[in-house]
Amino acid sequence: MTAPSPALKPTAGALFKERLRLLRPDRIVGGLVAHLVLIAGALFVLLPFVWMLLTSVRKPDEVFTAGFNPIPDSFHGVENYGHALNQSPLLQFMGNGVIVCAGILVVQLLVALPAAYALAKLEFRIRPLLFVLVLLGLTVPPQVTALPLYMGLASLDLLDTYFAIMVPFFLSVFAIFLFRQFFKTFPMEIIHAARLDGFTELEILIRILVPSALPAIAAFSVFSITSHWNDLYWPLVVTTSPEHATPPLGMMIFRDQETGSNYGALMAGAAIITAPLVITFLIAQRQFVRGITMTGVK
Amino acid sequence: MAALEIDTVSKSFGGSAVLKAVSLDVRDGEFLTLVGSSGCGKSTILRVIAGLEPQDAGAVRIGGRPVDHLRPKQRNVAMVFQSYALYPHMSVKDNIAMPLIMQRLRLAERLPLVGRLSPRRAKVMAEIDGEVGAVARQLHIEQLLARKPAQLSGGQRQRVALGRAMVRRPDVFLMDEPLSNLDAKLRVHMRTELTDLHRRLGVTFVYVTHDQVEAMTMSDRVALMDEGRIVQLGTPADLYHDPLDLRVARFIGSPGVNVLPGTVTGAGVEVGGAQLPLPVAAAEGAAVQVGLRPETLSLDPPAGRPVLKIRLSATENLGAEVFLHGRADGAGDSPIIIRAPLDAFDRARAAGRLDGTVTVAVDPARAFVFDADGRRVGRRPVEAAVVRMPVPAE
Repeated sequence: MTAPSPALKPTAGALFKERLRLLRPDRIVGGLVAHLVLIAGALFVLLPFVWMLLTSVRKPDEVFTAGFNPIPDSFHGVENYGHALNQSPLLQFMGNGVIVCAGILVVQLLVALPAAYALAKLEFRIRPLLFVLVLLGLTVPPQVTALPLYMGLASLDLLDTYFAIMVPFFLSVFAIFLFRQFFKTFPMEIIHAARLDGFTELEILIRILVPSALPAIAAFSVFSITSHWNDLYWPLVVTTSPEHATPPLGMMIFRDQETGSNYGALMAGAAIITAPLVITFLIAQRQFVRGITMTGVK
Repeated sequence: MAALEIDTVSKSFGGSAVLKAVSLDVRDGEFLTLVGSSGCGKSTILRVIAGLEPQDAGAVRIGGRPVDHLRPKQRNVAMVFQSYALYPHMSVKDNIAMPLIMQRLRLAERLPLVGRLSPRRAKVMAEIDGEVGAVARQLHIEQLLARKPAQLSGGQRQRVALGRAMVRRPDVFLMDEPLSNLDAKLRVHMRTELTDLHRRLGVTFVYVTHDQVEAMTMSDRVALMDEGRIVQLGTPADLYHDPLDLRVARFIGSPGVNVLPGTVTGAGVEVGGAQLPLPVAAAEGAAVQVGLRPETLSLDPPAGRPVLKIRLSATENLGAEVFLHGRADGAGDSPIIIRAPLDAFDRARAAGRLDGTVTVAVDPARAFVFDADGRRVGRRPVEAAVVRMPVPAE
């Protein structure tokens, strides 16, 4: 009926006015304050990280004497990083970290995606009850279940294995909740269409929902990988040998055995084991933000 | 191709009855429209037919065969949804091919890598490609096959959804408000295209809409629904010229029917001072509602017919015809619309009969009389009741 209105392009005059508006004194002050707060926050969060990087290239005697001079007097990075890599099986720790994180993530996704689909889109009587149980699961801290799990693993003679490090995290209540919320927003009509076309429920999940949920899956993967890469508590409980040590535990063993108080080398090691996480996040950043904001599907 | 029978189907959601013992026979190859305001249960019927919602009671038969125990894909029905429900990350080609892939490839053959090991997979896929191409040509979307749904306009998505439904050659086509997301111009165009498609395919269509114009222009028969029941089932002309219920009279027709309060008298019905000589099956003195279609009120001199006096408030000239808005004197001051052809309007104006008030002639034969509950009383050709009226069950 009505002709489509032409795209509303701002005129040059309107653009100029808009810029003027941004230059008003109250705007400038407001912007400055906002940015100062953000910069302060960023410094607060990043400073330990920066300090780690700086320390990792300092000479051992400079670590404590240098005061707060941010620039090292001499570059000692090669020695420190070389020491970290040679004196400890850092690469093996990181390999362990990859195995553990990947194992945990794969099983978490295999369990959580179908569970979330059932909780979001299938009709059955005890669904509300199951969902309440999932929510309750969110409130149980991992320390509570540590002792029974430890005893169970000990009686099965499974202590000090990859399986022991991974098993408590296979069922992620958080993942079930996150994906359920995402699937809730998925249009029911598409699922109906798929059922009419002859998709099985599992195929609906794999072929239709999972591709649409990739941002949410990416977001969850970042959470999962970060927390299990960095986890010290549980590996410390069930692992004793360096063969299965994950990076933080490895660092601990490394500090005790070899370096003592060689903080430069220690920080070099820390920098090395943090790097994969930083790189992963940078790669998945866009998906991660999209997944958290959950714009849903159009 | 198959006839479709819905036999006293009931369905409720959380205690509220959405379908109340609905029965409906759709003939083989018929275009039947379910029309009604939102929440009347029309979409629920479609989902029950498709097997997406199990009914609480009653039976559905397709081609004489009960399908209640069958899963949606086994019923051989296709459905076009209001939102089109295309698979968002698949190309147009894959969207259309999906029903055939699901039908003809075994579960193992559909697996991403393992499936390729099957020797017959390539042959089946080639067949499917051919059929998808044929459907795409029929719908003039061959050039879109590689695109994703997000890159299509509303009309194009609509065609893809139709293609996905057509490709599997279903017995019954179900359409749930397929045109309501299109702009007005395209909607008019797609109306003719859908009726055309129906004629070419010769398949049974069950079409759901809240737009009475779509119901009137496209269907062989229309079922008007309200509050989980079918109020009237008949041809579009039946519903327009012979509504059995005030709700039907009000829903069908634009501008809507005029409804004036009247009283039953010995000689028929008195409304706004006009005596309509209609045999009415109601006690004398009973209050009734009289429905008068806007075009049955004539601006020409009455020539002995009963008349109504109307105070005019506005005129809308649409070119070929004129709508006169006003209020009926003596009939409860009810708002009233007269729909007059331009020449009749010009004659009346030239004769000076449009001076703020106008006298219109009523054709008693085209007036509908309803009792206080909205049921039609009075003249009503019995043979027009081709409806298999459902037994209301509470």
